[in-house]
Amino acid sequence: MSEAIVLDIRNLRSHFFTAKGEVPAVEGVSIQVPPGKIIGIVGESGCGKSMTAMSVMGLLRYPGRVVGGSITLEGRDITHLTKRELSQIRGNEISMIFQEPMTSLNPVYPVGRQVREAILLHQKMGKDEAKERVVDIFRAVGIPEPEKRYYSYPHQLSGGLRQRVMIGMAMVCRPKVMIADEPTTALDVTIEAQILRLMKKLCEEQGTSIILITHNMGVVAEICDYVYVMYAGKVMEQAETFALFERPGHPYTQGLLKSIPKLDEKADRLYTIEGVVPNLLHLPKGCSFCTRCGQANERCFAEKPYLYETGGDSGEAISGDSKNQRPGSQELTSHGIRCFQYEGGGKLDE
Amino acid sequence: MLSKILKRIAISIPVLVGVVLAIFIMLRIVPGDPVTTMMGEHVNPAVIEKISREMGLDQPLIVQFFRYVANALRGDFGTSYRLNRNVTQIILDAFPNTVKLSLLAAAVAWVIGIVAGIVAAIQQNKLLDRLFMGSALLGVSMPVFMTALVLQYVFAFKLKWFPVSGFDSLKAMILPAIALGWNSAGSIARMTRSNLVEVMQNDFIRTARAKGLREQGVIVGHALKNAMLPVVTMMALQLSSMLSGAVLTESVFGVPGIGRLAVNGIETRDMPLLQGTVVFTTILIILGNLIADLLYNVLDPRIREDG
Amino acid sequence: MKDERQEGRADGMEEGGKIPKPDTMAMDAQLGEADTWADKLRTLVRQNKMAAVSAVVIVLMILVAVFAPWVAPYDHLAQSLTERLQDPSAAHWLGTDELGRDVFSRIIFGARISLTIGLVPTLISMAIGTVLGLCAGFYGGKTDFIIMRLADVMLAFPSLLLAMVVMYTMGGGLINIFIALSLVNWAGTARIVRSHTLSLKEKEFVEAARSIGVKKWTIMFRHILPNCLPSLIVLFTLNIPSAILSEASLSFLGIGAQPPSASWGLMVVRGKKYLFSEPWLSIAPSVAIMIVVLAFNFLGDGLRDVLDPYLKEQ
Repeated sequence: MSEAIVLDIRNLRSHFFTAKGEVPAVEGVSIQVPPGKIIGIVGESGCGKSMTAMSVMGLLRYPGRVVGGSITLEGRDITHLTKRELSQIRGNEISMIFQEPMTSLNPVYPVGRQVREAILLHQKMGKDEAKERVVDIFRAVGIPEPEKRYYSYPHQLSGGLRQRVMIGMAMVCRPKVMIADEPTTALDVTIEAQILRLMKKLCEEQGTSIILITHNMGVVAEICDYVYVMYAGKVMEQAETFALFERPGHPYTQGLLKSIPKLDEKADRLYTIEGVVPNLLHLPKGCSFCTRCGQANERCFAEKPYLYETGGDSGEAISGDSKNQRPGSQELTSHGIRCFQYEGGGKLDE
Repeated sequence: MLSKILKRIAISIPVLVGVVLAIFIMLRIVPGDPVTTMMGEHVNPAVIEKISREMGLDQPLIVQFFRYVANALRGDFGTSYRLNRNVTQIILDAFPNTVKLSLLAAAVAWVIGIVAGIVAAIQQNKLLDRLFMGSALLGVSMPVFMTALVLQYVFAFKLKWFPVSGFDSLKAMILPAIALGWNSAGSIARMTRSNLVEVMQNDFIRTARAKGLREQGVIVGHALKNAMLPVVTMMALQLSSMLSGAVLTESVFGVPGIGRLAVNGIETRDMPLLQGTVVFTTILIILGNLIADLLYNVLDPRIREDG
Repeated sequence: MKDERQEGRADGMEEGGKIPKPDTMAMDAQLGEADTWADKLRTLVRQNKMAAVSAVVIVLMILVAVFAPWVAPYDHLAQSLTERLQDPSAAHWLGTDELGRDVFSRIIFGARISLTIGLVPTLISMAIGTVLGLCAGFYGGKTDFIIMRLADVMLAFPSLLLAMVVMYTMGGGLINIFIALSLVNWAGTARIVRSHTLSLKEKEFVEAARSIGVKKWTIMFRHILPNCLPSLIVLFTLNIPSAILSEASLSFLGIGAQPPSASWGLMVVRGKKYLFSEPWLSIAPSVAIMIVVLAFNFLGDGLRDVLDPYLKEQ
C-alpha cells in the first residue's frame, strides 16, 4: 500500500439484514483514492455505490452493517473506530454531500448557522470568527451576497444554491476526502455543469480528493480522473477515465456506454441492456452479470470471475508525466476487468 | 403575517357562533318548561308566566339567542336558577381553581411527556423505550378518575403525604394536578416519540451526522425543534381533553372549579349555569387552538415567510 | 435460503423495528415483494406481541360478556344484606358491595355494557362520519363547506362536555348515552374520510370509472370507500376505547347509567364512598375499564403500524 493513497478501501463488505434474508449490497469492493483526484463510482441504482459511501462515512444505519474489509484513511484504519472517534473524522477529514439538496438542510435553522456548526464542531474557533469563515466559504462556492444568505432559511434558496451551501459545509473544514453522492442529479442541467466545475475547482485549490458517485456517464467523462463501474455490489471494471471510454472491457461497461445517446449517430431506438438488475438475495451462482450478458458462456454461470489486470500501463491514454509525478499511485493507471475474457492478466482481488 | 393572523381569527368566529348556537339549541329542546322545572310542579301558573317573561323565555327562540349572545358579549351569561346569582360571577369564582389545576397538570404532562418521549426515541426499540411507551399507553388508557382515586388512596390516605381533598394550598393541588396530567403525559410522550422517530428519517439528519455531530447532538440540535412543532399544536388540543378531565378530577378531589359547576348544573337542572360553563369552556378551547396555530406559524420559518 | 432467513431474523429481532426504515423499504421494493393482507396480519402477530395478546383479551372479554349469566358465579343484582361490604374471599373473589352484591359478577355483567357502548355507538357515529366525509370530499363546494364547518363546531367541544349537554337534554340512562355518543363522535371520522376522498378522487381508477359513466354513489361506495377501509379499521379500533371511557366518565359523574345497573363507571362512583375502607369496590371496576381500553389501544396501535402507517396520532 503506498503512501500517496489518502483513502484506501479494501475488500469492503456491507450487508443489509432484512426479514427476507441477508442482502449483500456491497461485496468485496476495493477502491483507492489518491490525493487531489476525482474518483468516480458509476452504476445503476441499487448497485451498492451509495452503500459504499455510507460505509466509509460510518453512517450505515440499521439494518445495514459493515461485515468485512477495511477502510484506511491516511494509514489509519477507521473501520473499527468508536462512535466518538468516527464523529471527529466525519465532516472534518471526510465529508459528504447528498443527492437531495432540497431536503438535506434542516428547514428550521438558517443555512449559515448550519455550516458554522461544522466549524465549531471540529475547530477551536469563536462564533464570530467561524461566521466569517462561513461567509468566506459561501463566497468561494459562488453564493451571491454571502453575508445576507448567511441568515437565509433553506426554503428561501434555490436547489442550486442549496447544493452550493452543502458543498460549502463539506469543504469548510478542508477535508482530505469529500464524497459526493449524486450531487447534481436533482438539479437542472445548466446548474449541474456549474456545480461540477465548482467541485473540480475546489478540489484542485484545496487538494481535496473527491469520490463522485453517479449513474451518469456524462458526468464521469466531464470531471473524473479514474472510474469504478459497480454492478450488484461488486466492481466490474476500473480504469482511468479516458481508457474506460476508449476501451471499455467489460460487457456491462460496454452496454452502459452504448446506451448513452449520441448526437452524431443516428439510431432508430436507444440501446438498452436487456433484463433487470438481479435480486441481491438470489444472485446467480457465477458472474452476477451473466443473466444479462450477451457474451456469457457456461463458465460465466458456474464460476465467479476475479478482477483481472489488463495492463493499462501500455495504453497511450496514460500520459507519461502523471506517472512520473505520482510514483506511488500505480492504481490510477491500472485497468481491471471482472470478466473471464481477460483472465490472462493478474488478479487484482482475491 | 398580519393578514394571516386576521384570516385565522376570522375563521374561528363562525365556529364560535356555531358552538354557542349548538349549545343554545341543545339546551332548549329539553322537554318541559324550564321555569316549571326550576320552581317545581305545584307553583302558581301566573307566577311561572311572570318569571318566564322576566327571563325573556316567552320570546321566540331566535330573539332569545341574539339576546343571549348580546349579553354574553357584555360578559353576562344570565342568572343561575338555583343559586340565584349571576352565572358570570359564579364562573369567575370557580375559574381560577380550574386554571391553576390545568396549568399545573399541563406542566406535569409536558415535562414528563416530552422527556419520556425523547428518551424513548433515543433508545428506540430498547428496554427503556418499551418501558416508557408501555407506561404511556397505560397512562392514556387509565380513566382519569381511576388515576385520581389511586393517587388519593395511596398518597393521601395511606401515606398521608397530601390532603385527601380541597384545593386551598399548593400541597393540596399536587395530587389533582398529577391525576389530570398523567393522561396527557401519555399522549404527549407518544407523539413526541413518534415525531422524533419520523424526523430522524429525514435527509437533513443524515447531513447533521455527516457533519460530525454525535447522536445526542443530532437529536437535540436538529431533530428536536422539527419534532416539537406538531407537539405544540398537540398541546393546545390537549387543553380540550384536559378541561374534560378536569371535570372528573375536580369531582374526585372536591376542587371547586368549572367542572364541578357543569356537573352541578346538570344535577340541579340549572340550565343557565350549565350553558354558561359549557360556552365559557368551549370559547377557551377555541382561543387555545387559535393561539397554538399562531404559535406554530411563528415557530416554523417555512410558514412564517409566505404570509 | 432458509438459513439466510434465520440469520436475518436473528439480527432483525434484536432491534425489532416496527416501521420499515427508508433504506429497508428501498431494499424491499427492490426485492419486489409487496405485502398482502395476510402478510400484514402475520407481520402484526410476529412483530407486535402486545397487539396479538390484546386481540385475544378482547375476544375473551366479548365471550365473557355474551355468556355472562353462565360465567358469573352470582346474579349481579342479587342483594344480600348479611354479606355487605365483604373483603375479597374464595366465595367472593372481589368482595361484595354495599348491598351485598358480588363485585366480580357485576364486573362480568358490566362488560356487556362497556363493550356494547364501545362497539355500537362507535359504529353508528363512524358510519355517519364516513358518509358525510365521502360527500364532503366528493362533492366539494358548498356541501363540503357546510359539512366541514359543522365538523369544526363538533370538534371544538370537549367531547365529555358535549356528551354532558346532550345528557342534560335527554336525561340520564344508558339508552341516552348510546344516542349521545352516536351523535357526538362523527366529526373526526368525517375529516379523515374527506381527506382520503380528496386524494383518491384524483386517482386514475376513479377518473376511469367516471369516464365510463359509473354513477357517483357507486364510485363513492364501490371505489373510494374500500380504499379508506384500512384507515377506518384502525380508527374504529381506536375510537372504541374512547367511547368506553366516555360512558364510564358520564356514569361516574352520575349522569350516565342509573342504579342498579352494573356499569363500571357507576360501580366506581358508588364504591368511591368506601375508598378508604373497601378500596376494591372502586378500584376493581376501574381496572376492568383500564384493561379493556388498554387492549383496544394496543390492538389499534398495532393495526395502525401494519395497515396505515400514515394515520398519525390525533
